[in-house]
Amino acid sequence: MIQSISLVKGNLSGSIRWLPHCLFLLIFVLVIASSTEGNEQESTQTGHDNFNKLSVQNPDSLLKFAVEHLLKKHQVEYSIELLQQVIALNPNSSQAHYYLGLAYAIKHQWKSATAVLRRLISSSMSQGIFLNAAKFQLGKIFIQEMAQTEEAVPLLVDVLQSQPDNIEARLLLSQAYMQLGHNTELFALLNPVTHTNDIDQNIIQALMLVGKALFSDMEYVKALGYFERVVINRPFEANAYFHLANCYFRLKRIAEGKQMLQTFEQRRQEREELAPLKRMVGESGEDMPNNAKLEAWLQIAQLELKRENWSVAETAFRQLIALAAPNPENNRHDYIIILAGESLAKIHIQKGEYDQAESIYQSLLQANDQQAKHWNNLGYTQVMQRKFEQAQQSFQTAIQIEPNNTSFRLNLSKVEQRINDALD
Amino acid sequence: MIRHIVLLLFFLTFNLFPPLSECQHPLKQSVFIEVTQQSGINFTHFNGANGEYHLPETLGSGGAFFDYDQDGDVDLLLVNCGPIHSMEASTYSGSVLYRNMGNGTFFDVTTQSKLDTITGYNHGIAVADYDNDGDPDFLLTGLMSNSLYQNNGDGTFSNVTQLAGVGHSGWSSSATFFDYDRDGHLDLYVVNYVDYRFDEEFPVCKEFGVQDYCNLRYYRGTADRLYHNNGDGTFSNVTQLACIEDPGGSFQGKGLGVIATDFNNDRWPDLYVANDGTPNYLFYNNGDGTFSEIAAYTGCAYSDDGLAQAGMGVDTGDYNQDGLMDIYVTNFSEETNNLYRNNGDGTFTDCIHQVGLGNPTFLPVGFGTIFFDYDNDTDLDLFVANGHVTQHAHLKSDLLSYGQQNQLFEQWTIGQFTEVSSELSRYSEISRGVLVADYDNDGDLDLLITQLNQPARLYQNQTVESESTHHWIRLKMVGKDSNRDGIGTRVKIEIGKLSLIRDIRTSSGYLSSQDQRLTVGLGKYSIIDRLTVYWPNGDIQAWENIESNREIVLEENKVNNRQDG
Repeated sequence: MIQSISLVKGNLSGSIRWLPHCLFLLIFVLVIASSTEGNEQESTQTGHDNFNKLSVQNPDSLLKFAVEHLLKKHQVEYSIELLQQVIALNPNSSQAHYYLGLAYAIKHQWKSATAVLRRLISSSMSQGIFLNAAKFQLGKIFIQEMAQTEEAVPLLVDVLQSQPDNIEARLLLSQAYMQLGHNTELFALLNPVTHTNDIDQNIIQALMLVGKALFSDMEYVKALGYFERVVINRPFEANAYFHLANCYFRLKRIAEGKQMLQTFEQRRQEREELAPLKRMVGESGEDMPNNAKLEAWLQIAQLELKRENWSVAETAFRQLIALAAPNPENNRHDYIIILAGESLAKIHIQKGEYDQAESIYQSLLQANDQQAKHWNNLGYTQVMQRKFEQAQQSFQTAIQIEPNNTSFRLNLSKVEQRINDALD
Repeated sequence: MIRHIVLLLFFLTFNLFPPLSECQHPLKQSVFIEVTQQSGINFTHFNGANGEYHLPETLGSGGAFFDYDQDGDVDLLLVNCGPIHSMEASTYSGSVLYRNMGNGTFFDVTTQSKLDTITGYNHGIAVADYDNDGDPDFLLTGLMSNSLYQNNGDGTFSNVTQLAGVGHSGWSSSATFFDYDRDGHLDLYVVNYVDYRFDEEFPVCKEFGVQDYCNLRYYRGTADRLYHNNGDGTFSNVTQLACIEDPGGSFQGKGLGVIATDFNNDRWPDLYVANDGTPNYLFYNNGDGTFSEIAAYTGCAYSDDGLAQAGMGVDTGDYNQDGLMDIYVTNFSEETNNLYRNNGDGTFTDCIHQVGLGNPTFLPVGFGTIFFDYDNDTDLDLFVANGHVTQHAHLKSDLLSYGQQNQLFEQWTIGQFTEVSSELSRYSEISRGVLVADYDNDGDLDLLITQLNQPARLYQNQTVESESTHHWIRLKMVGKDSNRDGIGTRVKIEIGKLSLIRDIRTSSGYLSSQDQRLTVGLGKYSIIDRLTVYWPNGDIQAWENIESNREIVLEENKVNNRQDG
């Protein structure tokens, strides 16, 4: 966003005629990007100056400063240094221990992370949320990084006793039970949460775990049901097709198994297409030039959109908007911003978030009010919110721009019918 | 007074015999001892690394225990790589043949055997008497091409690659001899890795900011080859004819390990190929000269989460004594190894966690591996040779390192393995191949480990010395209508209520060949109730009431077995 403003200012004298366009695109970027968490870069020197002031005065403020650098500014090394200072000043700070453990984990310094978290858990530091958070974090490291599954179990059992609604702890513990072959315990943990129609990513994971446990118990028909629920709700979930294929093969339904395997291969290839792109925009892509990252995010966004992976696609498009700056000399950025906006609007519509989609189309139209399809789509979002009069105006505007478009005319007639029915 | 004595006895009892959970089996502590120096083996592997980070530098080499001079004890050939660039590699000679002197020592006979002519950047070895003339020959795989050495029967070898027609160019890793059409001649399967060219410029690859080997995904897999033995010293490439192909179309496999065994007990040998970063292959022998690739349908292509893993080493064995061959595959770090249990219905289940091997194998990078009964108690134990591929592994995670400890797992009850500490795990090194043989002919299986750019290590097994009640039998097969080595023979040993099955095979593990004599632990049983031999050509023979603790030679179609040693 800072870049956007400076670019606009820099080009003002040379490209006056572009000013309205850029300003409106800038407004659009600000609207969309305001909901995006980005890295705010502050100079470490400024940070050090602030740190020096704080450490002398107030360890609590120092802790707050350290956590901000860890969670919002992603300056992990610096936050480790700060947190170590906090602990030196206040050895019983459970919060500092917790965040220090988290910081080490982000750096993949697992031994240090586990040492700090163990200290927190076994000491007489204050109880409460940080104790449970530490147990959860330590359990996660044991299972996912250190392959010490048995050590993770009692930690996660404790967390669930204090926080029975902690779905992530429930899933992690189930993962541990799966590895240990304790399927009975796994079913007891997950069956209550899988009987729901409100399917989010956690429920998907639960369905997969139950399915796999049933498969290992040779209950192939039951397992099939769980994996089918996954693909219905998440058609891009490659592994679900793999497990479905295995179920079919065990049931000697070979043709169906082969078909599932084909779909799995397709989804797997899509996932592999994404992997290098995600690496480019992730940690290992720190040295990548901004334009390369922009293109990588664009590909990721489009691929995830194609896979109907809405939440990830949304994140990717928001990242695109955050990275791209309106630039009258770079049509590519303008194109990307508009494409991202359109795609985001479509995602919101898929998710039933019509008000947010409406807001995006309004922003796009402020930048360019001659896009008939945007007026039409705006009208659609307004219809879904029962804003029929506004929808009528939107469709009328679309028709003014493209008088021969029969779809627009059909939409207008439908909304006028709804208005008449309401009057009656 | 009596009360004091009772108390003293009570105290002594609970201190001499700690709680059961803390008990250590006496064999677990030091059953293997390193004898490299005393044995006279003085071999250091050289991978030719010159700072340019060529992928071939990471593979290492294997070796073979085989009785090249037919004097009753196994000799040893250790394969070497050499300078990495093609021009220099063509003149470098580093592979060594050691003759077993019969007294626990080995003598370098490379020159005398004319194997000082071996050149090239070599990785693997497959040993077999491919011409059925009574002495073992061998094939070397390598970066540029394969080479076949025929045993002349007089202590020397000749390079017959051109004559035999098996010298295809390309990067080959493992190979195995097996009689796929049961005509009595050993055919050859060669696994190829990736398309690697020195004349192509590769980008400088970096991981975590430092230059490192490029990721495998930069390279294309290359097709394996199946050669039919024509019975006249020559081979024909029958890869396409036999339908050795990737079901996805173009051959994508990046093969590193291969093993031939009969998975469905129909007496036709099948093939399992471990591929690095691509799905593994199971080539099912249709019995008509063709194969069908069915790994994905049978559940042994991927991890249990549908991931193609870094399959390096592979071995088979009936670990759970159900009469079916199971498959063990070693993988990369942050991937467990796989133990594909043969379900008997044409499918496999990866049960690595259920048998207690999931967690211990998650972090190390596994290469050579072998099922073997190290303590002669009748069940198959497991050894894994570990070592990373990059010296920068620690930059990814503080849990990883370049040098890693090898692992010996004892099967303490059927279907459960536990890691045991031993001399074999003493060093953190970059291990690659593992060779198993009873080199001192004392009835227990010894072990040699090859290392990347480091000395090979020989370990002597002390089981027989320390546990005289653990009986054993060693079988040497001599085929008549079947191939002379008896490769592909299935042996069933019935002792008490136990029924043990073992295969005679050559290649297994990683880039290596094993002693073709079959040493089987019999535990407390000193007599084999019934021994049934299923020869590769279809013949079946059986013997009863065989005494243990000796080697016997079983000749095809001969009623009486012959005792040797």
